[in-house]
Amino acid sequence: MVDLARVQKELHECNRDVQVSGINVTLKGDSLTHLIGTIPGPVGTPYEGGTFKIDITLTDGYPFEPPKMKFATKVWHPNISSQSGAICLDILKDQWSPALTLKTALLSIQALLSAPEPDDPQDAVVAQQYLRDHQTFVGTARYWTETFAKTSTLAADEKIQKLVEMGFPEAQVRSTLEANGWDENMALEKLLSS
Amino acid sequence: MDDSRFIARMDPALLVRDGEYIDGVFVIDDAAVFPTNPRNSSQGSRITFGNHNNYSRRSDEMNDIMVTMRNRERNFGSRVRGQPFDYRALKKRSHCGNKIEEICSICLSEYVNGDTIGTLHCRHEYHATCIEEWLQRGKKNCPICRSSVLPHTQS
Repeated sequence: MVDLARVQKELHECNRDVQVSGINVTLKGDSLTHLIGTIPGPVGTPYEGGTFKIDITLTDGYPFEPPKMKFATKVWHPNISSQSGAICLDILKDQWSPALTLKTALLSIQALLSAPEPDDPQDAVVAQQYLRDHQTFVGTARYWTETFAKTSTLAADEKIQKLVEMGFPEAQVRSTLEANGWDENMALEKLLSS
Repeated sequence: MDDSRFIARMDPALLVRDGEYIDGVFVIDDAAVFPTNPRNSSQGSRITFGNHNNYSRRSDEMNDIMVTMRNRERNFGSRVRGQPFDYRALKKRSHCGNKIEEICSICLSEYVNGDTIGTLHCRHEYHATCIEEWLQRGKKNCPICRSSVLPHTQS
């Protein structure tokens, strides 16, 4: 059985300081066992400016078993499959501990974006490029961030403007839109219910 | 006895290698710094074996410890067969708190008076039922600091 009470506490806790951490976890549907995490690309990396979505599935036994996490946003990184989004990270496998949380796991993934480990690759092609032709690697990673991890700023500004005109504070509008994958309707619902 | 000496006596295998994290303990130059121990100064406590100044780092004794450490490391978080391990030895007490809010790091719930609390050798506490479920899965490390819970480290 998934400890749903714990998951609810985690969601509450994580979304309370989203302004500070930039890390967000929302429900994918009605179930508390399918979630979407979002992490901002770390500053000073080819992932800067991107918003990366992580698909989270909680299996029976959570928090004693690790959450299953994979990138839903395409990303070019030695430890993340460019095909499937699978992540090679020890704490998501044998180094998981129940004292870790969805938020700390997402923070670890964010740290992995900053510090690739090409000697323990998930994607051999990317790892080879990282080691042998770093310049090209940085270029590709940046291009993928631009292409897959960025919402067009023009469209985003329009959405923000629209909701701000309805009387919601801009910071809250922005974070709610980010949390809901820039879906205006979902964001509006969240804003109305908060 | 101060805290650091107590831990050193309990589990000498914690005190190996230089300049890296081992089981949540940062080890520098044959000495260990416990960065999160609230009783210590912000610098953490330093533990040394014998006379630190003329201690030969690669002595046989040290090598033995390092081998033990590596073996131990392999066992962390894994299910090791054939190793006697009695998690029923968990120290338990009933929660009676007038302290400020404390939560169990496993279920993230606050301790309520009357809850049974289980304490590991490293002194990290959880609801007894929570930590028992972790140990019943064959895990042999503390969820917070990853130090071993194996019985021969008991004092």
